[in-house]
Amino acid sequence: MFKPAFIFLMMLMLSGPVFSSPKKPLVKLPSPIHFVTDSSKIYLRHFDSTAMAKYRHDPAFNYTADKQANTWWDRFWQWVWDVWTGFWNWIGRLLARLFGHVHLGRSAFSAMKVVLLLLAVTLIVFIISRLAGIDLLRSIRKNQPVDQVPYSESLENIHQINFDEAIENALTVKDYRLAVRLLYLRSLKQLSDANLINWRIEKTNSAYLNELTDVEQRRRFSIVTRQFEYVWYGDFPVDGQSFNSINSFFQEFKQALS
Amino acid sequence: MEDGLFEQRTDLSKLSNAVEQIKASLAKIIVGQQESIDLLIAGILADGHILIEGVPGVAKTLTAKLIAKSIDAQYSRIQFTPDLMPSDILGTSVFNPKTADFEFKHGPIFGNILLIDEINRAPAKTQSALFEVMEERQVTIDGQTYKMQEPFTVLATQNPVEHEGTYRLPEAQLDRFIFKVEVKYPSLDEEIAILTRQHQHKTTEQLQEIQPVLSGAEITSLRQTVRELHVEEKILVYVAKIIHETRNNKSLYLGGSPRASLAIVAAAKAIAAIRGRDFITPDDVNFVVAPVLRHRIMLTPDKEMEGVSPDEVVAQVVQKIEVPR
Repeated sequence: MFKPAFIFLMMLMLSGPVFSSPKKPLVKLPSPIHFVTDSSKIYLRHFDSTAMAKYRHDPAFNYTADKQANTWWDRFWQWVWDVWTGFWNWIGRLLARLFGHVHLGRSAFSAMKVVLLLLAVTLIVFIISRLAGIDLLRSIRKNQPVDQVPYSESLENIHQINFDEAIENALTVKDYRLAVRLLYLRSLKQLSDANLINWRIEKTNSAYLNELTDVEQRRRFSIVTRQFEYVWYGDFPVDGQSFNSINSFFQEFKQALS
Repeated sequence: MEDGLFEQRTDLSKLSNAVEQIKASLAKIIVGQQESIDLLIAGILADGHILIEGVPGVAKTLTAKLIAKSIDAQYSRIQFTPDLMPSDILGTSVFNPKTADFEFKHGPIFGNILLIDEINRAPAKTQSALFEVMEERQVTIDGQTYKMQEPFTVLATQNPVEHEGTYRLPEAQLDRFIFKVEVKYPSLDEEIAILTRQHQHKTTEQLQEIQPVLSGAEITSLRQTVRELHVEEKILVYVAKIIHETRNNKSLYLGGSPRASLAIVAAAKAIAAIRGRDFITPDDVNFVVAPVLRHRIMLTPDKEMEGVSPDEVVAQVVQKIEVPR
C-alpha cells in the first residue's frame, strides 16, 4: 500500500527541477548611506629614546660595513688578487696586440682561467711531491723498463765505424779477441753494403747466414762466423799466430766478396 | 773444430754419440718432429721437466715413452684422471698390524723417468702434489722427507687447454717445466711415411727393438758436463734483457720469472752441447726462448681475444733485443 505512494512521491521530487520555472534575477535597491564620524582622540606616539639608544649601541643591529685595519693575511690575498687580475689584463692586452681586438666569451674566458689554474695547481703539487721525495710519475712510467741492464756495446752505428783503423788499434795493443770481433763486424758491413743481407741488430749470425743464397758465399761466411763465435762467445784464447790464421779466412772472405 | 784452430775444452764425444743414437732410434718409429726430439733430449740434459702438448693422435705419449725407453732407469707412468688424489701419486702411510706401526708405501712418483699422461685432466688439488717434487726433488709426507733418486725427470703430456675435460695447469706448476714442446700435425710427406710404415708393419717390430742408450748414472754425468759449459757474460745479459722485456711488454699480463732466465741458460747449454760446442751463442738462446717461455707467460685479455699466440709475442720480444756481438 505504501509502495505506490513512495514511488509517486519520488517521481514528484525528481521531476521538480524539470517543471520548475527559471528564477528571475533579483533587483537590489540602493541602501541609504550613513556617515559615521570618528570622534576618538589621536595621540602622537614616539619611539622610546632609551630603547633606541640601546639598539643603536647593540653591534647585532649595526649593519654598516666594518672597516677594520687590514691584517698581513688580508694584504697578501689582496696582492694575490691584484696579481691575478693584472695577469689577465696583461693576457688581454697581449691578445689584443697579437690578434687585434679579440672578444672572448665569458664562458671561454672562465674555461681558460680554470685550465691555467689547474696547471698551476698541478705544478705546485708536482714540485711539492718532488721535494718530499714522492715519484708521482712512477705509475705513468709503469710500462717502461725500470732497470736498465748495463750494456753499452750497441752496434746500431755499424756503418759509421772505421774498421780498418779500429782493427789496427786493437792489434797495436795485441787485443786479438777484439780484432777478430771487428773483422767479423766488418764482414757483416760488407755483406750489408753489397745488399746480400739486411743488417739489423736483433738478428743472429745464423739469420744472416740463411739470408745468403749463394752456396760459396754461405760456406765462406759460415767459416768466419765459426771463427768469430769461438773467439767472442767461446772465449777461446787468441795469440798472434792463431790470429794470423783466423785473419786469413776473413781476408779470403773479403776478397771473394769484392 | 773443423778448422783445427781451437781444441774443445770439454769432451762432448760421449754426449754427441748418445744423442745421435737416441735420435736414430726414435727416427725408426717417429716420423719427423726433429725439433721436438731435440728439445726433449735437451730438456733431459738440462735437468728439466718437459711438458708435451698436442692435439690427440700426434704421438705425444709414444715419443715420451720412446725417450724414456732410451734411458736405462726406473720408469713409471701415471694416467691422470679427474678423480686422482695426491696420495695416489706420492704414496701414503699404511698401518702394519705386524709391527704395529705406520709404513710409508711409495707412490709411482718414486722413479727416475716419470711419464704423466694427460696431466691436465686432474684438478689443481692433485697438481699441487707435484710442486715440491718437481722443484726440490723430494716428497714430504707426515713430516718425513723422501729424497728422489737422480736422475729425476717428469715427462708430461697434455691436450690443448680448450679441449673437453681439461684444466689449465697452475702457473706455479707450469713454471716448473723447462719446456713446453708443441707437437704439430705432420706434413703431407710425413703423413704418407707414417701410413707406409704402418702398412708394412714396421712400427710394431721396431718398437720392440728400441734399446736403452744411456744409464741413469750416465745421464747424471752428462748433466754435470752440460752444467759446466762456458757462458759469456754478454750472453747472460742478453737473456736477462729478453726476460725483462717480457715483464714490461704491453701484450703480456705475466712475464717470465727468474726461473725462466735460468731455464733459458740451462737449455741453451744443452742445445750447444748437442750441437757440439762447449759454449753458448745467441742462436742457442733464440732456439730455446719460445719453448721455455710459451707456457710461462700470460697474454693480456685483449691479445687473447685477438687470437695472438704466445710464440708470436715471444718473437716480438726477442726482436726488440740487440744480439751481443
